[in-house]
Amino acid sequence: MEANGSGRMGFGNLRPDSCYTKQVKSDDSEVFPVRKIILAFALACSGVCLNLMPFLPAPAHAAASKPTGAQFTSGPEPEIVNGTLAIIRWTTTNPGGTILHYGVVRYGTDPLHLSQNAKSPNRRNPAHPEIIFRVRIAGLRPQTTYYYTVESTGATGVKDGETSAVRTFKTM
Amino acid sequence: MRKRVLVAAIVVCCAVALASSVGSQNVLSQNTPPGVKTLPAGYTIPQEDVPCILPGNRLNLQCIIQNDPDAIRIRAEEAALEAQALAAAQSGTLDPFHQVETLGELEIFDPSLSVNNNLACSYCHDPAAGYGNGASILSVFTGGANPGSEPITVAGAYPNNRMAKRNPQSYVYSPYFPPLQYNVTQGDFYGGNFWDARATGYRLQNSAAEQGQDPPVDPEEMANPDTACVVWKLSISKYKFFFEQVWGAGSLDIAWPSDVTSVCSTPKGAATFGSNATPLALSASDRTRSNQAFDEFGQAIASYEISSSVSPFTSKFDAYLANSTSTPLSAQEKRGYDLFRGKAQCNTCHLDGRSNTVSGTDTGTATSVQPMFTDFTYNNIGLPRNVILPWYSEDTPDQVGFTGNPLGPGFTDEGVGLFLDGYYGTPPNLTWGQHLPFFEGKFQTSTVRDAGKVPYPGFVKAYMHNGYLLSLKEVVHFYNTRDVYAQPALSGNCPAGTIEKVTCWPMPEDPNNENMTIGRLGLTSAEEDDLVAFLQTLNDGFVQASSSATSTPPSLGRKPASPPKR
Repeated sequence: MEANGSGRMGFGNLRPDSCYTKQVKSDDSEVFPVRKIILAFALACSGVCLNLMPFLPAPAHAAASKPTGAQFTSGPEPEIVNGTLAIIRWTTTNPGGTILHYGVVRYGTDPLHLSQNAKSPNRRNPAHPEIIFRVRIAGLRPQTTYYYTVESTGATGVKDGETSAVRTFKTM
Repeated sequence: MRKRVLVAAIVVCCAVALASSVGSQNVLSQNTPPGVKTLPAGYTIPQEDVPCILPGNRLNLQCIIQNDPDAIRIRAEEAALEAQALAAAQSGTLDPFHQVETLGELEIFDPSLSVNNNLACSYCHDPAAGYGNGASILSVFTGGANPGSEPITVAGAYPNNRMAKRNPQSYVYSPYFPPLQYNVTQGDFYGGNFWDARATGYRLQNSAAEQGQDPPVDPEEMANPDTACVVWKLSISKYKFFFEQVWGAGSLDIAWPSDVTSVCSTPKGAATFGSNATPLALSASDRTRSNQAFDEFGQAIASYEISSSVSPFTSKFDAYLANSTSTPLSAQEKRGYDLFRGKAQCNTCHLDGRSNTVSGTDTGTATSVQPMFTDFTYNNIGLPRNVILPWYSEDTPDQVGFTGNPLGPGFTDEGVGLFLDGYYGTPPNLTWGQHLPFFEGKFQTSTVRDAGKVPYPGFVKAYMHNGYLLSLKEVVHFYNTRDVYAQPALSGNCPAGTIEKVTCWPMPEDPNNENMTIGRLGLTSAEEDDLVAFLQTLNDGFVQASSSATSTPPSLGRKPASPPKR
């Protein structure tokens, strides 16, 4: 990557159908957040971009507080699995905290290295005794066995409870 | 094997029944011109519009503007309401409260405030349609996106008029949205106006006022090249006296340059202006005075929007909250209400002032008797790209060198992501940028008040920011089954054997931050109908003016009892 002008930057040697992250630092040292680049072929790229989200930094105020103690009451289990997409679903006791929560699935083809992440927003209802988490995982390989664990956090990064045991699903 | 055949037959039957109940696009209307796409059930293209249909299901927008019955109705309505407001202003009997409100009404219904003197705010925000798009033909063919003031005269251009990029958002109850704030405890944005939060309200501490300031200088809408042009137009309007009565004598006393007419009749974005956002040359003091008047212009609009003319709390549900004995909900409406705050989880975001329940039994007392039916947050509900939006075609320069959407079909509507990422300029709060990854693809959780309001039976209303959904039944069905019938396809390309919007939902335009609270609610078709019945109880106008506390002095009688019928 080389700068080619004030306020503009060019990027070379990019691969089609791929997603990249960038971070920009301005002259006054203000750092802007990591940002995905959608190339002209954005639609083909969208599934990969989705999976970039969990790697992005949490808001600056995110606290590494201790878990709120939410307990699994059902799942996790696959709700939908097809060739390239899965939705993992589970229910926990109402964790309290923020209304906006995130379900997080760490997954991979090696149960010892769950190197990929998917993260979806779910809104908590204060009056419900439980909350259902559903996480969409896109960009999967067909006919492949995946291993995964799940957990959830509040919008400020506070973890709700324990991480689940490793489970598995196979794409079609 | 026989069991499988039976199951398959049941599935097919259910799909057919569902298609019929969703009322989607499986029946051609009798007068549909050859080559025109299938239309929503019950909708027929008005004869006046038939010559306006171009090959490829595109519209000759100049033809529509001139001939469409809804367009004609809307202009007649706005002329009548503007005349009524002017008469009230001239009467000299209005108290200060109603003066500001009436000034806002005059501004909203005044087409002369657009660059070509041909487009009022109300053209895109039809009172009879709940202050949203009021033209069925646009709901069906442009996703509800409306034509702006400036035609496009380049030969062969489509669209042949500048077009807004989104379905116009209703502004009912919009002044109740607080200025945009990032709540650090909740880790979420609250407040603001517009689908993408860009009317933050940070300066006037009034999101609706700042929202009202935007369309007059949006190049795709009223297209004035300078905010001072709006003020100049106010200064030569029939109600200049009234503006100064409200905001003080001399409010509009500005030394206008000799070229004011030519500058202010040139649409925003014209190459001749370059990047100059203030092409009208004013002295520093006159610029300050103009800016002040433009703020007052916006504040008057917000005053009208919060008035009982626009946000009156006169729905059946309001009457039910006030006295459930004298105004009970019907059995179906009550079932819908229980679903709304229970199984369907609508009340998770569209707050109704009651607690949510899982079982549907809520023995509590309403905590608010004028609930907003929104939590003022933003969500990505995973709407598919609405490929019929003309915005995706506005990628070539018009006759003055303006290109609305240089990305053309490569444009992705990221909602709040656009705002935070600087699409409209640097956001006013520099700390907000860090939240961008968590808000891409999100759009405002609108109030559902007046969502079902239409000018006449059979009117097709476009819902959501891109107008992809064309009835409340479709809206509910989408929330219910988005993930059940998800297909990795663009709109118009659902697999054989499926029906788009019935048993096929194309992939989301922006998959980032897709809200997974919805998508598989497990509602039956009958339960979807129950929810729609409940949503209809949120239409204002149930409580008649004679028994409500109207904010308009009764002696003036300015408001028609009901919107003009088509």
